[in-house]
Amino acid sequence: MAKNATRAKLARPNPGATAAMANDRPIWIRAPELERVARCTIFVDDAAVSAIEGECLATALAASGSLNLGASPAGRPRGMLCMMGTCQQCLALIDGQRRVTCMVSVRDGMQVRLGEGGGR
Amino acid sequence: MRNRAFDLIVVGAGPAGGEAALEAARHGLSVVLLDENAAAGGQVHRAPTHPVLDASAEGAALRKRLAESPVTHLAGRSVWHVEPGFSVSSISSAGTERFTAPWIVVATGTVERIVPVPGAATPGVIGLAAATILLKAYGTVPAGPTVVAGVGPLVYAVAAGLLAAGGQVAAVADLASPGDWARRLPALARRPALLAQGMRWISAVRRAGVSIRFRHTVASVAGVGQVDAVTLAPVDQNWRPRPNGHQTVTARALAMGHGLVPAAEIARALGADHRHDSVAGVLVPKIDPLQRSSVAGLYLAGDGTGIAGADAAIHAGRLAGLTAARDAGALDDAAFERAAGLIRKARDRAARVGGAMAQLMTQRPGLLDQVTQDTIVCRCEDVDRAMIEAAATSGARDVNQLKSTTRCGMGPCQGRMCGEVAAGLVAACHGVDRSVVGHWTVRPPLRPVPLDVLLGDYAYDDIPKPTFEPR
Repeated sequence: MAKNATRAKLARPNPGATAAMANDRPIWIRAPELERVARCTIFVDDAAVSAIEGECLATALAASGSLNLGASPAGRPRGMLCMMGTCQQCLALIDGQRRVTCMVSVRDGMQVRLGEGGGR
Repeated sequence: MRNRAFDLIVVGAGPAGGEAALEAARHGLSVVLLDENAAAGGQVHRAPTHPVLDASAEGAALRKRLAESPVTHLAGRSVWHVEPGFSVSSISSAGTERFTAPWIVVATGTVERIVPVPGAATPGVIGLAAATILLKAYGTVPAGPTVVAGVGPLVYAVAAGLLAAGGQVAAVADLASPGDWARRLPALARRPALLAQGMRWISAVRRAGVSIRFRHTVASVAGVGQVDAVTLAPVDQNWRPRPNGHQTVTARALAMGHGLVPAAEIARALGADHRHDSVAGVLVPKIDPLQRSSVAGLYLAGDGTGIAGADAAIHAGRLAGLTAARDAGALDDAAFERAAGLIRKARDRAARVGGAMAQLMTQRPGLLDQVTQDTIVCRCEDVDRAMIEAAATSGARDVNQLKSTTRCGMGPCQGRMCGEVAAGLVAACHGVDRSVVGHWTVRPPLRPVPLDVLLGDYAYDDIPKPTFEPR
């Protein structure tokens, strides 16, 4: 899974929908109101990613181009599905603890490891 | 572990649980309200994660009333264990906590049924309910073209919401036909505001030039690690996909949902009687007209008792709180009868509209045909339909036998996402009704609990140890 290859390039605020599609990346977009608020920095597999304090970690990751969060036992990528803490597909290692990213609020300096939350 | 005693524990701070807590507290009960989310409101009134995003008026009002009430609302608490009598254990970033009370209201709502298709486990495929949460609470949506598929009002709510949020909708696939919708109009007409809202959604989708395909489902999703394309297929009146007329649309995301299933695990863990609702095709708890379950002291309210919608949940929740207060001796019978009569009427009126929508979403038997042999049914354990059928034909006659032979439902979601589909497939394999093949056995922990959190931070010296002779 080459999910980390372009992370450094993605670590900048809002590349914009058009650019996202041009690069064929599944970028998600934030509401315009959110684009105006101050940013903080989280670290996703050690790469700095711009995010908003208090926002949902799963969508912050999606907005930076990371949709492959957990992994199935066979190593298939899994991403957010239910957004309410039930399906456990978006598990990641957050500050050393396995948690569902859809129920976690972004905090400045948060350390996230992907692909290690699911599976065994 | 800390242990805190209250008169009443309420689990779930959506419209039902929130109202139950407020009503009981109004009659003088000490109430603790436990909820998984960061703020009250449930999924229907999920609170925005940032103050610049607008909250629904109902959600903001509920949160304000709770904040001004004597209710002890503890957010971010996932309930992982319940015991009769009652004791409730929760886990949060604060660690584990235990609450005890002689009365308990459970209002844990529903989980979404998502009937999978090939490729549906690909990241970028989300539930319809999930999409509403993105729109209401998170202010973040897929930028690329999104296919919105499934059944019920959420299909149009999500499609219109995505468009309003700056997203693109590639296509809408509705399992229902225009006739299915028309048959629910009389019930909807009793709530003109809801009807008008639905019409606004549909016209917004049409204005954007999005094609709405009635009697269509998703046949497959293409892409590795991301959605590249979604293939749509027409269905017959039993929602069985037709072999011809498939169309593939370029998409970056898919929001798909096939109705709601009551989240019954807490009531089941406490031993409450349930019945299989053959119309809705789901397991529902047996409750009396005053929201009492078969277990003394356990009250149930909201969509977790059968899908009736958020308006009905408000009244059912209030009634549960009122009945608990009466049973606790906080108000006399005359006062209770007066208040309960009015609330019951309001609840039943609202439930008629919600019920009509639930009927529209009742799963039809052909839908399971979209689950092909190599479709992943259990996302947590990579179990596909072929493995489920192999287990069924080699002797698994109920879902728990299926679970032990295939690990289907044994992963971290504990079968919440795949359970209904897996059960339907076992039943279809044996040619029996879904009710015959049973339900997963409910066992603690009801939610995954990290062992280090469960153990807490006590030191080795805190552990009582026997002293040995000779010294």
